[in-house]
Parts: sequence; C-alpha cells; structure tokens
Amino acid sequence: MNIESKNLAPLPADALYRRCDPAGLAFEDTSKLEDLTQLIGQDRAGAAMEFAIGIGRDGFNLFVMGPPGSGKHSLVQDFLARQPVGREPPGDWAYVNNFADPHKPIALALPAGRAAALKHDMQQLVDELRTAIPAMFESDEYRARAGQIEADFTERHERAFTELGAEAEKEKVALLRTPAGFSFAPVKDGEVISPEDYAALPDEEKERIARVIKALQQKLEGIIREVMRLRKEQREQLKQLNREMTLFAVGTHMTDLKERYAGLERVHAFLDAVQQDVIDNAEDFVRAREAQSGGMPQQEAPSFRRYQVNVLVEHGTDSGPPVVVEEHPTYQNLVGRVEHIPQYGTLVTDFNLVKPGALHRSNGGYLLIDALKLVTQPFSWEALKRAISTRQIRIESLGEVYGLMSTVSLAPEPIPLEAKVVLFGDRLVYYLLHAYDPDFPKLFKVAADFEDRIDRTPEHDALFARLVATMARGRGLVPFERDAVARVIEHSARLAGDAKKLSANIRAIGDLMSDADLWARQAGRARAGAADVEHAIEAQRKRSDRMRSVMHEAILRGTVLIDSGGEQVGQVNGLSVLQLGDHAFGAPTRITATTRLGDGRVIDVQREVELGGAIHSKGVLILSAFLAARFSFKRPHSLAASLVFEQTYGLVEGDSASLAELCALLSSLAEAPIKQSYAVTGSVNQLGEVQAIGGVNEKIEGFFDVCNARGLTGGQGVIIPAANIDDLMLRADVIAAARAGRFQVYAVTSVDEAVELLTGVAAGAPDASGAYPPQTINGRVAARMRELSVLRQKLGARDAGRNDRRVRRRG
Amino acid sequence: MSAAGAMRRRVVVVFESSPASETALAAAAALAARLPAHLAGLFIEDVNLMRMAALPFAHELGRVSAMLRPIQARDIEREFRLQAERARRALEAAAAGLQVDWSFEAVRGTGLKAVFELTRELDLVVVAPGGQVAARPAAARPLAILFDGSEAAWQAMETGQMLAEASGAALVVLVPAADRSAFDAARSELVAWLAGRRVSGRCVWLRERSAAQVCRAVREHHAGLLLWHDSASPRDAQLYARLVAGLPCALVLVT
Repeated sequence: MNIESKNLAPLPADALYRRCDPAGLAFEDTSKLEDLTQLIGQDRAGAAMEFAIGIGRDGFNLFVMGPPGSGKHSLVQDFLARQPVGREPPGDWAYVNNFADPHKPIALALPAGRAAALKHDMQQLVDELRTAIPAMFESDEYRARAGQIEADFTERHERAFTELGAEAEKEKVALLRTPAGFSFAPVKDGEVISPEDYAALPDEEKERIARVIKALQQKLEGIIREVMRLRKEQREQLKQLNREMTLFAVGTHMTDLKERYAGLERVHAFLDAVQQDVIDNAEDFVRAREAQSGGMPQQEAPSFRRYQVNVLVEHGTDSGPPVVVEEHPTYQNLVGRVEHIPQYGTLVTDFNLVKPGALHRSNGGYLLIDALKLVTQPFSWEALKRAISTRQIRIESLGEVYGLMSTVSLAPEPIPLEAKVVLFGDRLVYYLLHAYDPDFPKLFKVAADFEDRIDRTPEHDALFARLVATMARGRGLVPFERDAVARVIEHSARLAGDAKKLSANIRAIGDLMSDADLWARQAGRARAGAADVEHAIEAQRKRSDRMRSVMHEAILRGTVLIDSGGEQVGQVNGLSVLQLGDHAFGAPTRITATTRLGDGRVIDVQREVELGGAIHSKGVLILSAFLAARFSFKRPHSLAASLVFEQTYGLVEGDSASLAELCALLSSLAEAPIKQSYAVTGSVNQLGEVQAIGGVNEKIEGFFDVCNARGLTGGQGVIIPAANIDDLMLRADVIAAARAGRFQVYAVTSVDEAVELLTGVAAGAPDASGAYPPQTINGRVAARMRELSVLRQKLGARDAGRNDRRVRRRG
Repeated sequence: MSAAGAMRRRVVVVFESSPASETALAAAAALAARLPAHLAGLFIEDVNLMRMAALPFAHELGRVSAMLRPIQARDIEREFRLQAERARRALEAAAAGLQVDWSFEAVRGTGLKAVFELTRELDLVVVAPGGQVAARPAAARPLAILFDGSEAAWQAMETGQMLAEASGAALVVLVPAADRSAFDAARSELVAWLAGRRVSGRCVWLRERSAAQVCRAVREHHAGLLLWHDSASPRDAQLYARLVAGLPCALVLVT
C-alpha cells in the first residue's frame, strides 16, 4: 500500500493574482475619458433610489446604506442632481406679520423668485408711505379740513362758555377757571368780591347769589357734558378724516401691488391687512418723519418692521428641486428657529427673526442627512419624524416647550412639507432603527443597499477607469496613465478581497490616487504611471505597518516561536489576520495539540480561559465531532485532547484555524510529524471538507514575510481552501517567489489533502469494512483511537470490579 | 439778526394755571434763544380765584368729570405754590437747555391785566393757549402774524420773519380788511416785502379783526404761533381773554 502522499500541485503563479490587462483599456490616460455620471454595479441601489424618487406617496423616504467610504453621499447627490426637472420648480416661502395675532406669523407661499420681489416691494411701499403720509398731513386740503373740525369744536364749546359767562355776568356773577375746573363767584366792578364784602351783603342778596350760582352750576354741568360729547365727536371726525386721507395715500400703491401679485389670494389678504394697519397707525409715519428731522429726541422712532417680508426660502425660476445636505442636523438646523434680540434688558422677537431650517430649504426637493448624526442629536430624530408624518414644518422653541425660557416667543404658521428625505448610514444603524423604532419602517419604506463589492467585468473595468478619471479631475490630480488605472483596478480587487470583484470603497481609491499623484509630481511627471500607484500602495502599507513590523520582528527574534522549517508532532503553523483601523495584516500562529486517554472531549484552552470566541469554539467542537464520527463510530470515544494557540494573549475568534487544529490533532494521534515549512488556513466541517475563510491574501503574505526574511528554501508554502482561489490577489513579491518555485500556495478541498501535504504521509481511504490502511495517517489515528478505547474499557472493568467488592464487604 | 430782534430786551412767558403753559414756555424759550433776549417767567396768581375760594359757598366743577366739589382758599394757595415751583423748574430747564439768561417772578393779579402792568415796551409777551393744543410740535407748523398795515404790524412782520428764518417755518399773514380791494392792496405790499427775504408766506383775508376770526384762521392754517401786535393803551383785556381762550397755539404779543 502506498503510504506516500499524493503529489498535490501548488497553484500556478498566474492563479495567485488576476491582472487587469491595460490593453483592455482603450485610452492613453484619464484626461481622455468623460466623467462618470452613473453608479457602477449598484443596480439594486440605483433601482431603489429611482423607485423612492418616482413614487409620490407618503412614507416612501429613502435610507441609503452601505459600507463607509463607498461614496454613497456623492453618488446619491449626483444621482438626484441628474433627475430631470419634470415638475414646477418649488415655490418660495416667506413669513409676514399676522396683524390680528402677531404671536402667530403667517406663512406665504409664492411662485419661485417672487418672495424676494415681494420683500423689495414692501420695503419700497414703506419708503414711499414715509414720505406720502406726512406730506398728506401737511397738505392744504388736510389742514383745512382738520382746522375746520377743530375750529367748529372750539367755536361750539367756547360759544357755550361765553354765553354762560354772559348770563352769569348779568347776574353779577363771574365764571372762573380754576386749576382743575370752573367756579362761580359774585363780582363787583369786574372783580370777585372779598369774603368781608360778601358777609356784609343782605341775606336776600346772599340767597339770590346762592340760587343764581346753583342754577349756573347746573347749566355748566350740562355744558361740560356737552363739551365731552363734542370732543368725542371731534376726535371721531378727525380719525375719519385721517382714515380717508391715508386711504387715499396708500390705496394707489396697494392697487398696483395687488395687480402685481394677481391670483395670490394670501398675498392679497396680507396687503389688505397692511393697508388697514397703515390707516389705523398713520400717525406713526408722521412721527417717524419728525423723528428723522430731530423733532422727537426723547422718543423712539416708530418701527415699520411689521410691514417687512421675511423671505425664508427662495428659488430661481429655472432651478430644479433643491438637494440640501445637512451636515449638522441639530433640532434648530433641521426645523428652523426663532431668534431673539435684546431690548431694554429683555429678549424680544418678531416674525422677522424666524430662521429657516434644512427642511425649509429642501422643501420641494431632497434632504440628505447622515442617520447616525441625526439620531445622536437631541430631539432631531423625533422632530424629523414629526415633520414627515404630519407633512408640516412647525417651528417650536425647545426652550419654551420644556419651560426653560420664559421670554416671549412665536408660533409661526406651519409650512406644508413636500420633501423627500434621504438618510445615510451603516447597515447596523438601519437594522437597529428598523427593529427598535416602530415609526421608522412607516416613514422610510425604501432602502437603497449599496454593494460592498461589485463584479469585476470588462464593462465595469471601463466604467471604473472613468471613475478614476472623474476623481482625478474633481480632486485636481494629474491624469492617470492606462497602466496606472489598471493597477488601481487591481488594487481595488485586492481591497475587495476577491480577484473577481472590485471594492466599492471609493474613498480608499481616492486616497490611493492622491498618494500616487504626489509621487508623480515629486518625480516631475505630468501623468501618474503604474509605478506611482505601486509606490503609493507600498507607502500606504508602510505608513500603517508598525504593528505588523513589531510582530514580524518578534517572530524573527524568536520571541514568538514560529518555525518555518523542520518537523514537529502535534504542532502546526496557523494563520490569523489582525484588523487595525482600515489596515489588515496576517501573521502565523503556532497551534499545538496533545492527546491522551479521556472521555471524548477536545479541550479548547482558549475557550477555557475565555479567550476564545463563539465561532472559534464551534470550530473546535466540530473537530471533536469529526474525530468521533470518523474513528469511534463503533466504540466509545476515549480521547482527551487539548488545543492551544501558543503565545496569543487576546481574543481568538473565527473558525479559519479549524483545519490547522484538526491537522495538529491528527498529527498528535498518528504521531506523524508536521512540516513546519507550511502554514495552514481554512475551516473544516465535521465531514472533513475544507471551507473558505477571509483574509486569505493577508494570511499568505504574513507567512511569506517570515519565510522570506529567514530565506526562502523552496519548500515553504501556505495551504488554503480551494474555495479561496478566486480571492487571491497577492503581492508582487509573493507571486515572483511562487513563479520562481521558491514559495508555494496549495489549495485543498479536504483535511486529508491538507494532512498529506503537511506530513508527507498518505491520509488513507477506508476499505469496504471502513478500515483504514494501517500506515496511513487515518489508519494510525484509528489504531490509536482503538487502543485508547480498549484501555478505557479495561480501566472501566477494573473500576467496576473494585466497586462490587466494596459493596459486598459492606453487605 | 434783524434790527427788530436786536431791540428786544425780554421775552416774557406768562404762566397761569393753564395746562398749556408748557407750549408757551417752549415757544418763549425758542424765541429768547433766537433773538437773543432775556427769558422772564411771570407766574400770575389770580386774585379772583383766591377771593372766590375764600367765599363760604365756594365750589369747583371738574373740567372733565363735571363733579361739584368744595374748594377752599388754602387749596388754591397750595396749588399756586406748586404750579409756581413747577413753572420755575421748567423755565430753568428750558433756559439751561438753550443757554439763555432767565428770571422768574410770581405776582398776584387778575390775568392779563397784571401782565400788561408788568411788561414794558419792546418785550415779547408769550401767553399759553387756552384752546385745544395741536398734537404736532410748533416747530413744524407755520407762523401766523396779524397784519393791519400799522407800524407795529411791520415790526411784528420783522420779528416774524426772523423767527421763520430761524425755524424754517412759513408765514401765514392774517390781513383784516373790510373789502377785497383793501386786502389785495395789503397783499401786494406784503408780497413785495417778502420777495426780498428768505421766507415763504401767504396772505389770508380776515373780514374782521375779532378774536373768533383770528382763532379760526389760526386753526385752519395749523399755525404754531400767533404774533399779535398791539399798541393800544389801555389794552382790551376781554379781547385777549377771548383770544387766549380760543387759540390752539401760544400767543406772542409784540409791543
């Protein structure tokens, strides 16, 4: 029987890297390419966006999710900006004074471009009235009519007093004006008589005087009441005159304005209210004129702010729907706010101090917000939901709502909301909101899920080249040569961790291009070449390579024990990947296994000390199941084994080491030494099949670096799952070594293939009775398992006999 | 400054128990500053009122409330003292504001008769209006002058022209004339006189020189001040009483 291993061939060098053939790119450099105006390979997300934008129903707002750096924001903005302007441009909004209730400013909707015009017209109206109304009050006509009214009043009441005075005089009594009123007193020779003279008068005369004065007082009382009535009448007449004259002054202007804003009923209503207020407060215009000319030094000049128009949002007539990005979605930035100004030690406000929020600016268009920023701002998320569900933008002062401010504030009329809200976020944020906020699924019915990776096809390569061209132009970088673009595409595949995919991480590509641009400029080249891109990749790797270097050095110095040559029983080189920020690197880890008689348990030391994650533990339990199923299906599983990740002091997670662990166990059981010139990665199921793992490129490179530093012997290599062949995008130095036969990558489909490679001994296949050839790995393991089982049975029988004897003695 | 202005020695502002005295003080202070002249305050304690209050049946009927209430001499005296003090302070403040010399005197007498006894030739006497005072400040309103062609009237015109020039106000010249031709003749003279001066003016025909006619014309033309010349001796106190009672603005008596 052949106990030598089958010769599993290493992967050819060409299989380790999928090149992008520059010949397939039909341009010289990116300056010849048009800008990219479409999404690459994001058909699902694109369809979702088109659906969300096309549907006009409530709640069909959009949540755009995908990995960070995938350019979601700019892609969506570009996508929205490209939408055809198929509807009326959104209108303008303005707040004006509510003359009936200034606490509640009125929202005016105007056609696009008209709000600013109305503001200007109102300012002009006030300017004109400031001249026209005082001029009207100065006019001869007004003076004459007002003078007439005044003169009529004076004449009438003076006549009454004069007649009363004359009547009193006939009775030798004078009508006197006291500081607070009137009085009567007897007179002699035109002067009031003295008390002494009065005392000397006969009683009849005194009685007559008293009678006369009493009668005169009654008449005077009547006159005073009549004067009061006349004064009221005079005031009313003057008021009416003022109204008539003011209406004349303001009416012409108002007619012009109403014609200019024909068909806008609410604007007309506002103009009517303004007209009435001007008529009622015409004196303000006179006082303003006097204040202007310095006639009112002690008084504050009247304000005409109440006639102003506070333009909240204005649009051009030829603009499409607004696309507003709110980078800082605080409550106020979102729904707007009412500002205050200090006046005489207190805070006051009016409709002019109502400021718009992002919802106002995006009304009629699209509002783009980062979901995480939104939900981490107090009250913002609730405010946005309220606005969407009520389809109204209502400005409320938080201070007032929560009783934190006692100053006067406003309750502006809510504005109807017709905006599509687009939230951006990671998938985790989306699913958390979906799970925990019952409003979320009702308000954000459409999810645009951006792919992390896109298919690497010739069409996508061409589009990707245009993306490179667009970014180069947008960032002011030098053009990229065809070879450089090919290298960028290859790097994108490497970032995707899949030779048949491209990464959607546009930010990383942009950063790489900026790096390459620098190297090209420093070398005095007007275009970036493949060497510049390579230089940039290497520079990026070096910049974030500190931790890898430290670990690498520790291995080379023997601080961390990793063999890259020789053989050892129960010891294998596993491979792990460490992710630090956006940089990942691989490194070998020594895995050891020991076996002995036991009850069938495989002890995972990492798990025992709580340094093993759940997936890792699952992998170890699978090994136990594999061993029991393959070797102990007819007898008790009497193995105890321990598995250790040597010199690891942190959490070990994932099952990508389960193949290596199984190989170590089999080596220990079979007492077959493992070649330390190999490293192994791959997960294994309980049938012994090898399954794909992640980070295969970093893992291979991690072991290659150790071997390369110690000197490549030609016998070193890495065993990977065959399912990962398509993911291979290895570094150029690894490929060169493979091509020269100094380093190999093997792809295996089963643990048998792996263990054969590692031990150089055939794994062995079972015969019809299920027995393995004795010298093969499986045969040796089976024998060891039988041996352990027999031993366990013997020990069990001996223990049973002792127990029986003890029982009989007691009995 | 005109010759007429230079000759004025005093501007006498008469304080009575009228609420419109502030109007007279403002006009008087402005006059004194523009001439310039000494600003003299004259507070008249009306003897008739004091006697009336001393009578056993003395009552007062409220000007606004029409309520009858008893009044006593000490009430009147106290009121006079308070008003005099208020007037003095107001005068002091107005004079300080315009930087004019001032003096204040409280005298006991009967209305304008007392004023006429105490004022001298070349004094300008400013009397508070008794009628309803216009809301707009006097500075913004025209200056009315009674003109009958006499020498005193021409002096009043010169004083009026000087004041109008200083304040930028227009002149409204009230011309009493028996018929149209007399008015036209006076107007021609006035137009010619005004032509050489930097003031605008208009003539208004009064069919008689009665207090009522003058007051009506002043009201109709919204005049802020009435310049009235009178060289009669003794003056007709009743005429002045009616004039002051009916005017909406301060009266400036040019002697």
